[in-house]
Amino acid sequence: MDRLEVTIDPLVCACTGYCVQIVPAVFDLPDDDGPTIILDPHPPMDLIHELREAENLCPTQAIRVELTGEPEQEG
Amino acid sequence: MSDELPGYEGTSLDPLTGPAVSQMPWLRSYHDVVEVFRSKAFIQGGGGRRDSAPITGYGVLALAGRDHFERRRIEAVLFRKDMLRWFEREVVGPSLARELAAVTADGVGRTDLLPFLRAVFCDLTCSFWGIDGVDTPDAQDRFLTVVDEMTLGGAVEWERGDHREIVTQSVVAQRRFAAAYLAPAAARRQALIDAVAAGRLDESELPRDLLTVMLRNSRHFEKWDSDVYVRELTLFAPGDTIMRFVPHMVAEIHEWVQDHPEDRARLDDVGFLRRCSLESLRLHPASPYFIRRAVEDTTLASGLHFSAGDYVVLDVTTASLDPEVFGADVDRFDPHRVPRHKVKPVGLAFGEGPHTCIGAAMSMGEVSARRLGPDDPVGLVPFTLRELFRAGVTTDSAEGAQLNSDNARGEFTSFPVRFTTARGLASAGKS
Repeated sequence: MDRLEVTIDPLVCACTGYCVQIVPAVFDLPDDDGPTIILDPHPPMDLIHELREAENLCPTQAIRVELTGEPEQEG
Repeated sequence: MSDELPGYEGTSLDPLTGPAVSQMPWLRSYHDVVEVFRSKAFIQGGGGRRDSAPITGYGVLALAGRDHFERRRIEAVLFRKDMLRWFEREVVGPSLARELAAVTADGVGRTDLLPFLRAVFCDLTCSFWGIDGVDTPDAQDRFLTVVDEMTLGGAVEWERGDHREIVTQSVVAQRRFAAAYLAPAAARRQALIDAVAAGRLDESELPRDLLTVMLRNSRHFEKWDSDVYVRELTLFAPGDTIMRFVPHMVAEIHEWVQDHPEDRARLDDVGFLRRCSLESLRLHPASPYFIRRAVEDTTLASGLHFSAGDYVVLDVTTASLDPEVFGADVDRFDPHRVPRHKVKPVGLAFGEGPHTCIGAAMSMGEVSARRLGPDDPVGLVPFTLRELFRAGVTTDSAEGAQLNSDNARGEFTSFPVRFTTARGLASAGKS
């Protein structure tokens, strides 16, 4: 089963805060000079449209939203 | 007599009467500038005397807060990867191929890079804005003449001439542009938008340009006077900006590979060209400085204190030459430069925080360690440089390049080059 994986390239993130405004459940701004924080790297599938908008709105293309396979359970 | 600049009459613009830039404190260290760019305690568009307001007022650059976010959200559709790929491969690629063919037809390939790029990027400006019918050399020339007059006033802050005179000319040019180009293009697009609303046309058949995007979001733009459309277009002249820094890049890369022949083979590598472009932008930023206003009392990490209402100038030119960050040889072009501190590969070229340039990826492509796929856009600047070097661009030592002494942007007014091979012609329209 597919699941969402959200990543941010810390080298290029410019901390615009747009993603935080669109999907506050997934992104947050840092208190220091670091990149945007990912609160939930595997958010629920029903956020896909908001996440795609955040990805498209990012002027430095730091955000990537991908569909990945569910990791296999061990044991 | 009032010293207000012209252009406010009949608009919702208020004269901005804050302090002049020379009266504001200037921040010149890299870390101070980045901190203010990112800080919620400062905003852009908070007033201050902006002589260009009659030309670009209430454009995305001048907005703050909710209005700014809403505008960015509306316009982001034009900066998606599929659009950037289209601009590169279907607009700029064929334009480059056409102009290279024209220049090299005589077997000598000698030209001035400025008018050459001006012709190349005319198609991009029309496609991005949504202006139709500029499809002959004469039509291009007429169009670019009025565009040049408009955009000069949009960047009047950097001009050394009489600002009132420049802005007056630009306001007149904007009115000519609005009547001759904007009005008919808007009427055509509005008819298409109406047809979509009536179910007579599929949405996918709408043009993909700024004018269509603005008209489809007219409720947002109706917050301001109707001239906000022409002012927003003036602000977004992608070719106009790129033209300013490509000649510096050609000069610096050309000199670099002469001194470092081991890098000559990399002139076909967009990753290398992107690094060169960013290093060149560090030395010649497109905007020499930015203005911010504090909206609350705040103290920077360096100890500098600002009270709510204070203005500050972010001196990007000097901060990009901060030896504490970039080393002792800061004024040398070195695409392999390793900064002393961890700084972003793009430096300050596109700003940081909420007002990060919306066109950063359009200009430079994706600046990250990720491996680009074959369909990913590479960025208009690396793309253009690759095609120029494929065509064997070289500075023409027979003629001297001229810098523009009329403004503070360090841009060229003349940059003679030769294209020594037509190798790029066949490929310029492709990836």
